[in-house]
Formats: sequence, C-alpha cells, structure tokens
Amino acid sequence: MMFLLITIGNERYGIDVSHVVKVIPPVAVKEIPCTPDYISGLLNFHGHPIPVIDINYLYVQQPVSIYLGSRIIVVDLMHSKKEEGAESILLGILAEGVTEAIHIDQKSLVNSGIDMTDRSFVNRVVMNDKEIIQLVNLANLVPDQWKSKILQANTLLADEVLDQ
Amino acid sequence: MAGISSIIGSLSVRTKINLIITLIFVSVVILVTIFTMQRTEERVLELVTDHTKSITNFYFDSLNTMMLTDTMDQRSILRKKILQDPDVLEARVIRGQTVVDQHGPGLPEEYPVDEYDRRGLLGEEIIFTEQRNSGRVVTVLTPIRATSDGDTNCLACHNVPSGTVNGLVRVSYSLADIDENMAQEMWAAALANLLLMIIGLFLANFLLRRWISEPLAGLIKVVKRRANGDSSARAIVNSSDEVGRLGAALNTMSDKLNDSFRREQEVARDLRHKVDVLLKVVSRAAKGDLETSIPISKEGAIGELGVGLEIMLGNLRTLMDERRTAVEELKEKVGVILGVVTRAAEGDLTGKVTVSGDDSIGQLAMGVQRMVDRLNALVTQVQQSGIKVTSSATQIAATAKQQEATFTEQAATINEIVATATEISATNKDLVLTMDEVSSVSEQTAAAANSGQGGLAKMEETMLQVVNASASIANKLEVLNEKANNINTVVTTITKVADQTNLLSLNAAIEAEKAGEYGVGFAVVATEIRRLADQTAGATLDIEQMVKEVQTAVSAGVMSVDKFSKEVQNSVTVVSDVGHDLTQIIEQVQALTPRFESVHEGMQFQAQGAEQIKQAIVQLNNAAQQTVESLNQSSSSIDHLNDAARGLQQGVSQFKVLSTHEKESEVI
Repeated sequence: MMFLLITIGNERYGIDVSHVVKVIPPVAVKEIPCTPDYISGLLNFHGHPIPVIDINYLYVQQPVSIYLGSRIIVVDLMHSKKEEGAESILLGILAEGVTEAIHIDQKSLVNSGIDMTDRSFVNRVVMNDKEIIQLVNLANLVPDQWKSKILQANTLLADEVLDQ
Repeated sequence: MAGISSIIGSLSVRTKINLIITLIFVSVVILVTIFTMQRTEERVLELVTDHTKSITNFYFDSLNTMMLTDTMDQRSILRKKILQDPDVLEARVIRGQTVVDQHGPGLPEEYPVDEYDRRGLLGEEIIFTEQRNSGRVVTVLTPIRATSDGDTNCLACHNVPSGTVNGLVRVSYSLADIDENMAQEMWAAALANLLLMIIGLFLANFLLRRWISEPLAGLIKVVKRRANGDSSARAIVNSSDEVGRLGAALNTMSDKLNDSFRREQEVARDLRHKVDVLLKVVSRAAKGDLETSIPISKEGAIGELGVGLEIMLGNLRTLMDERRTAVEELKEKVGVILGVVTRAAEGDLTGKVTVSGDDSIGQLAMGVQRMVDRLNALVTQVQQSGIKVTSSATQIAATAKQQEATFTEQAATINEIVATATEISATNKDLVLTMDEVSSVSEQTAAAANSGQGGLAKMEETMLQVVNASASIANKLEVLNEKANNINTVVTTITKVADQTNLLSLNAAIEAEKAGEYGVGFAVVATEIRRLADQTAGATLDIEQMVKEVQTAVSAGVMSVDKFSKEVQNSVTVVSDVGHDLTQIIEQVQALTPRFESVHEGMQFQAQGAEQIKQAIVQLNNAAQQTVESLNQSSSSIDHLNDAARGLQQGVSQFKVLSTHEKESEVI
C-alpha cells in the first residue's frame, strides 16, 4: 500500500493514495460565506467546483500555513464504493508537509489501540522508521449528511459557475 | 582850433556877420547850380529817349505802309528823310532771319553789325546812352514782332508763328546841341546869382556900420572918458533902439555915481575931526594925565565913545589907589613866609607861618605851612625808612646767599635728571631694537600660519577624496546587495522548481501506485525524481543561508562605510574649522604688524622726546647758573643798596624835626 504523508501540528499523518485523485499546489480558493471555519472555500478542479477543507483546523483548530510543502490533495470520498456504481464525491484537503509518499506493508498497519468510534478521524496507525504515522479516516472526515450537501453545493456551484 | 577861435575873436562884429553872409550865399549858389544842372540833364535824357522811341515807331509805321502799298523798293528814300535831321546819327532797319528766308538779305545797312543788333533780333528792347567825342548819344533798338491782333495782320504775308521777331529798328540820337545850350544857360544863371550876392553884401555892410558899429564906437569913447575920471562925460542918445537904450542907461548910472561920491566925502571929513579929539585925550591918559575932559558933542557913536572914555578914566584912577594899598600888605606877609621858608631851606623845619586870610597870600601861607609840615613828616619817615631799608637790605643779602646755595643744589639735581633722561633714551633705543625683533617674529608666525593653512587645505582635499571613495564603496556594496537579492530570486525560482518537481513526483508515484504492477518502474523513477527534488531543495536552503550571510555582511559593511563616511565628513568639518581658525590667526598676526610699527614709531618719538628733555634740562641748568650769577650780582647790588641807605640816613639826620611827642602836643 502507498500512503501520502502530511503534517498536522507536530504529527505525521498518512492518506491512502488509492483515494487520491491528484495533488495540486495551494491555489487560491473562492471563500464561501457563513460556513464553518474549517471549510476554506471552493476550488475549480478541471471545471468542477469542489469544496476544500482545512484539515489542520479540523484536527487541531489551527489554520494551515502556506509553506512550500503546503498543498491541496484532491480525494474521491466515494472511491471505495466505486465498484457499486456510486458517484464520486471530490473533496480538496488543504494540508501541510505534503512532500512524500511511502510504501507500507499492509501487515504493519495496526489499530491505534485507543477507543476508536466510527466517527473518529483516525482509525489505524503505522510505524515508519520509529515514527508513528496515523492514517486519516477519509470516510469520517466530513459527516455523511454533508456529503449530500457537498454534492448539492457542487451542482449549485457548477450552475453558478456556468451562469458566470 | 584855439588859433582859429582867437583869430575869429579878434575880428569885429561887422566882419564876422559879413563873413557868415558870404559863406551862406556862396553855398546856396553852388548847391542850386549843381542840383539844377543834374535835374535838367536827367529830364533832357528822358525827353530825348521818348523822342527817339517815337522816331523808331514812326520809321516802322512808314515802312509798314510801304509794305502794304508794295513800295518797299523806295525804302531808302524814307531812311534819307529821317537822316536829314542833324541830330539823328543813325537810322536802320535790320532784317530778321525769317524775313531773310522769305525775301532775301536786303540792303547792306539791313544786316546786323554788332552785339546790340543780335540781342535786339532775339526780341529784347534796348535803350542805351554812350559818350562820344561830339557828346552824349542815345540809341534805341525796337524789335518788330509778327502779330495778327494789331492794326495790320502781319501773318497774312509773313508765314511765321505769332510773336516771331521779324526785324529790328535802330535809331541813334545825338544830345550834343542840347547839352551845349544847357551848359551856357547854367553859367549865365550862376553869374546872375553871383552879382546879386555881391550887391546884397555891400548893402548889408553899409547898414551894419550905420546902425551898430558907429553908435557903439561913440558909447565906448564915453565909457573910456568916465573911467579916466571925467564925471561930466555923457553919451549922445539919438535913437530908441537897443544901442540908444544902452546910452541912456549909461548916463543914468554916471549921475547916480556922482551923487553918492559927494555924500561920502562930507561924512568922512566930520568923522576925521572927532577921531582926532579922542586920540589926543587917549594919548594924554597914556602919559598918566587922567584928569582930562572931552570937548566934543555927546551925540552919535563917536560921542558915546567919548562919554565911555571919560567913565573909564575915572574907574582907572580909583583902581590905581586900591592897588597901591594891597601891595604894601602883600609885601609884609611875603616877608613872614620868606622867613619860614629860609629856615626850612637851612634844615630847620620847626618854623611856623603866622599869616592867615582867605586871599591868595593866606592860601600861600597855609600851603607853605602844610608843605613844611609834610616835609617834616616826610623827613621823619625817611629817617625811619632808612633804618628799615638798612635792616631789609641785610636780610635780603642773607636770603640771596641762601638762594645761591639752593640753586647750586638744583644744578646738581638737574645734572642727575640729565643722566636719567640719557638712560631713558638709551633704554628706548634698546626697546626699539626689541620691537623690531618682535615684529620680525610675528611676520615669521604669519608665514608659518600661512603654510599651515596650505597643509590643511591639502588635507581637506584628501579627506574629500576619502569621502568620495567611501561613497563609491557604499555604492559597490549596494550593488553587491542587489546581486545577492538576485541570487535570492534565482534560489527562490530553483526552490519553486524543486517544489514543482516534488509535486510532480508525488502525483507520478500516486499514478504509478494506481497502475499497480505496470507502474512499478515508473514509481522508481518518480521516487528518484522526488529524491532529486529534495536534494535540490536542500542545496537551495544552503545557498539561501549563504546568501543571507553575505547580505548580512554587506549591510554591516554598508553601515560601517556610512559611519566611516560620516566620521570623515566630521573630520572635514573639523579641518575646515581649523583652517578658519588659522585664517583668523593669520589675520590677527598680520593686523599686529602695523601695530608694532606704530609702537615702534611711538618709541622713536619717545626717544626723541627724551633727547629733547635732556636738551631742555641742559638749557634749564644753564639758566640756573645764570640765575646764580645774577644772584651774585644782586648780592653786590644789595651791598650797594646798604651803603646807599646808610648814606641816606646820614643825610636825613641833618634835618631837625619835631619829635612825635611835640607834634601831638601841638595838635592838642
């Protein structure tokens, strides 16, 4: 398995690359009024507007600083259900230290050992050179009901973009 | 002039009047004759000119008639007729060029012969007078113009423009006969005038003698006789004109003179008698006989004089008696006074004048008494004064001795002063030398300061160069900073490229992972690329660090250069301040030099002054010595004075005077 490494606060996290559509530079996003602080705004991704969340804010309540390694990772939330014919839901994750992707043996994946609910952001951890890498639970990154909202928003924004 | 006026003065009245009348007559005759002659000549000339003009007109009119009657061939007859008058000397008709062209040249006398003819043919009317052997001759030249507006239309026959001069008539007329007749008449008139004048002169002469000369001669004879004492001389008056009235007035004057002369003779005789009587009385009185009466009447001025004389004689008698008594009294008083005065003369001043009275002798006596008293007092005073003078002289002599000693001391002191003044003079000279040295030292100082100023100016220049150099260094550092910034930019670009490369490699790795087995090789490449990008990023970090260090160093360099530059500028300011101070020093030192000179001059003046003081003191010394000499002289004079006082005392002691005591008792 391959994981894309990111930094949140002082910790390293990993994202399963199978969900990753593309990594792009931290371009300017269109801010949306009256949204929670962790939503950065909308990104025009190949003609489709996709919401972008600030994962730092979501995890440690600190906004992402724009360094060289700060990037937007476009993921498909519905990747695992693709075979069931589900429509892909694209989401942009703004994160720091996105410079490295590592191969991890699937066997080295372990549960964190901490009481993990279904709603937790992290479900498993992996050891890499004595470093603990927590794996981001993309499924719980946004609430399910938000996914449909995001979809709706996507459509609406697509219309708006078209209008414009 | 004086000669002429004296000659005229000696002539008689009759001759003078005759001369004046003759002069007037002759002038009138000459003037009238000359004036008449000129006027007549002018008139005659005018008349003859008019007459000659008439002849020319007549000649041409006749010729014109001949032209019209076509008898021009006989024109010589006309000319002969005109020339028959003996006074007409010349009568000619001259043909103009137009007529010559139409009718041929004509007769020989019809050619123009002189300048007048040619001028006449040009249209000028000429009248001139000339003097020939026979006398005056008037010539008139009248040009003939062809016209159509006169009595005859000339243009009918003559084919010429109107106004053309076709010919000329010339006539000369002699005035010889007329002039001769006129001259004869003039001479006759002059002779008649002369005759009339001579007759008038004789008549005037006769009347003058009859009316003025002869009566005046009679009067002169009478006056001469009266002057020679003939009181019976009388003028014969037989006319009532001015001469007659003069004779009558002469007679009246003579009568009045005779009367007054007789009266004066009588008065003089009476006066002489009375004066003789008075003279006798006076001469008797002069001989001492005052007992005389005057036997003349007491009337008139001489009578009053006689009475006055009598009274005067009486008064004289009384006066003589009184005089005699007074002289006796006087003699007595004078004797007394004389006694007192004689005693006084012998030295006895104790005498008393006993005479008294208000008259002059009484006053004389009082005066003598006062004189004797005063003399008494004076001699007493002189005696006392003599004593005093003697003692004073002695004192003066002592004082003079003292003064002499004092002057000798003064002389010594003056000598000391002279020595001191000489010293002052010498010291001043030394001072002058010192001042000269000081002056030269100050000049050297000024020169040194000048050179110091030059050095400072050079230093300032060098400093300015340093400032410029540091400024250029700062500029270069600035450039270096800029370059470092450029490097930074490049590094940033490289970093961005590395970042991009990293991103690309990530995406590539992800894609390769997704491709599964097919992407393994690509995944390796992607990993390599990512590693390269990471290395690049690390290298750029190093570069960035180094560039930052360089930039820090550069800015530190810029700051220190700025600081240095400021310090150098401060130094420049200090240097220019020092230069300014030096300039002031130079100015002050240069200002000192004239002061030194003035001090120098002052010292020289002082030296001169000391010299002058010295000379003055020497003169003073001389004067003091002279004073000592004169003191010696005065000392001997005082001795003389002493002797004289003693002599005086002896002399005065011969006088016998009243003692003070006696005087007081006398006053009481």
